[in-house]
Amino acid sequence: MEILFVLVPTSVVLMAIAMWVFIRAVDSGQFDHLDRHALDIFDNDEVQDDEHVGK
Amino acid sequence: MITSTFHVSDMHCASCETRIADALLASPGILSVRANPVRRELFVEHDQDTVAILDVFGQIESLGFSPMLESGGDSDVMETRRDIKRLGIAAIGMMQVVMQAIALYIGDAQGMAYEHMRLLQVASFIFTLPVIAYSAQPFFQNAWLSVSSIRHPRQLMTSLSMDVPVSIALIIAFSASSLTLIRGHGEVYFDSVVMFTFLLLTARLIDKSLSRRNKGVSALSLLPDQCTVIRGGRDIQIETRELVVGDRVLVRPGERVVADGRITEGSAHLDESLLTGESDTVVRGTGEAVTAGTANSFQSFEFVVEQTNKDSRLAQIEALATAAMSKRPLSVSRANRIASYFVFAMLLVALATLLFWLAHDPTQALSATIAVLVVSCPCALALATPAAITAALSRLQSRGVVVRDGDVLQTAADIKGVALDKTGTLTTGQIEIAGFERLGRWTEAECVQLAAGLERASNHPIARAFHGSEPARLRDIRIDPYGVVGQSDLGEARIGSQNYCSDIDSSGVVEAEQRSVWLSIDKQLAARFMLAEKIRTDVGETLNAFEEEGVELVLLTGDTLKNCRTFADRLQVFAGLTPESKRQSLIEYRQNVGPVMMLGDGINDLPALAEANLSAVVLEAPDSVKSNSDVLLLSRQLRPIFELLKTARRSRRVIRQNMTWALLYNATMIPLAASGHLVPWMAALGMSLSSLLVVMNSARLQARGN
Repeated sequence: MEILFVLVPTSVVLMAIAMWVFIRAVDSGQFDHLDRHALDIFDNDEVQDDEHVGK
Repeated sequence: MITSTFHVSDMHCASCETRIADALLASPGILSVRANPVRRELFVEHDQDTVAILDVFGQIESLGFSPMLESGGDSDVMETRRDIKRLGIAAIGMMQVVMQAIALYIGDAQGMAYEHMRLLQVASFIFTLPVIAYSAQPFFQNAWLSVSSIRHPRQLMTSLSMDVPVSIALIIAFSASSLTLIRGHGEVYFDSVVMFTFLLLTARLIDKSLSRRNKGVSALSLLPDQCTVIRGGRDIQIETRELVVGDRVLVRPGERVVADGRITEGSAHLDESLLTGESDTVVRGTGEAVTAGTANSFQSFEFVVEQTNKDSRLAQIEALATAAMSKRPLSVSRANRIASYFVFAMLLVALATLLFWLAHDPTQALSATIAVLVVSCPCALALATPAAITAALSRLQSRGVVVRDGDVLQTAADIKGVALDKTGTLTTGQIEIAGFERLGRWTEAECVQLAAGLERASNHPIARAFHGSEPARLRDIRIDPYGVVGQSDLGEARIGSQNYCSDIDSSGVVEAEQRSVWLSIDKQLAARFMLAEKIRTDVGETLNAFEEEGVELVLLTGDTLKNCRTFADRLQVFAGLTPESKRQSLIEYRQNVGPVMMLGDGINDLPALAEANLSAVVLEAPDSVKSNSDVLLLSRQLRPIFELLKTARRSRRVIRQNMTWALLYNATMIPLAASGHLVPWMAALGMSLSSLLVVMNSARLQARGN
């Protein structure tokens, strides 16, 4: 059972990483508007660059 | 003198508001302080010369709050992010700690090596650290605010928030467990700490999202930032807030109307659901009014701005709804006060438990005390009323009913009878064609087409009754005082009074029983159109619904009995009433049936509305009537008024269920906890599930359908 002394600290490290990733994800705004992408289809297409228009 | 708006995201409770208000009002130059607890906004009226905005800002900050200047949106996002982070960290921590706790419990029962036990306890401690240091912060902050606001021992019983026992329980459990870790023997409660934090945060977050949905009515923010105006024959884009009265605005399909105005060109197919809650598209022609917030669903049209969006109908409705939410219903303050007393009593019980067990069996003392503190948290009790009221209000708003404040629901639940006005209330105020009589050799289709062609030129209420029909092509249309005349393929067509249409002098003829207009071709009577007021489409259905619910109905009208025939067999009718006799009838009616709601639309209803226990008006009512009433009906239908009564009754039932549950739960669990039969983690689970149950039960009110 000596392996526990390796596994448990490893889990502590992994969880610390998980928390850090989660905080980064929230701060990047991923969870701000959960239904935004469902509504994307209603947005107008972006205006094309002038270079490509009329060519 | 200006009013500054601050967004104070950590102003959670009534005592926070009072604390800020008291402190601000004590300083010179500040005249009034109002708060909107739902949006966490603070409106401070102050004298610019004596106190600058930044001074006020500083004062609020020095009280330990974090104000933000009016931005609203941003701080909302930041707050939501913080909430999600807190919950997420608590969730991750809980997963680990509970997993290790299970190992520890099994080890307790079957025996486990001391080093392994220590290892798991240390790991639990490490996982609990971020939970207690970050996720549980809001509880500690609230508890500290409520304790530090106590200036006098007398306030001890009334101003303790429920976060006080929560915080005490968390701190005792955490520090006792940490001590165990250092000493090397004893029990650890890390599992209880993380579970309690996580579940409590979940319940709060759900409650918050319920009340946030309630903000849905703040529709002004839905208006586009830019709009297209026509100036000097050219389309230019300007900022919506720069719009002035008289601007000609072009609304393309899919865009929202940005201000109130009148259509000058084209016809509009409008989705008015934002205002009325109804999804049917309405068609408005040239010369008709459009309202800010409605969406153009078909083709482009132009309108002239008559009222910029600051003064628009949308803004008025929003102001009304905001005012409703900024007033704390009596029932909620009562619930808060009860919760405070309860908290105080529970702290005493916890203390008694601690002393009792210390005297009899010190090993049990901590576990029992923590269990009492956790299980007795009156979260369910405190949430029982506000959660239900919030859910009911937001349901009503989505159905097109705006109420003045939460107390209206209380009154509405008791209503035994409804008094209705006829014109403009049961009817829409619009006129429709109720009958047709053929008087000449022309067919009905020809007559209707001619009439529609003539009336197309006019915007008179009677003329509008014909606007739905296919018009004939006419030339030289002229509008006279008593009718309209034009040249058709069949000859000179006239529509209007009987005199206007034919040369026969009919002034001696007895007044027709119904209002009519006549159509003539070359001065020969062709047809007679019988007119009637348009009855709201769902009157019959709504009257049935009221009857089923056991609510009595009465019609009070200034109109003649003859014009009320349609309703006479369905409900009691008092016709020919003056405003004063309307009031008298209402008083008598109230004495007979009990609490009465009056639904009206005009100045003539005011005396009766004032006498009614609950006054409701339709959207078309003049502002002076609207501002004095309890309920505003945004919909063109009548059903929402039934919806109000029904929702009020249901919300009362839900509040009672919530209260019963909360009290029953506390009454059974506290003795169990005090007697040592509950271990802290069970208490944490029970307490949180009970709050969740109350919030979920309230959310039922908001559910779609039924």
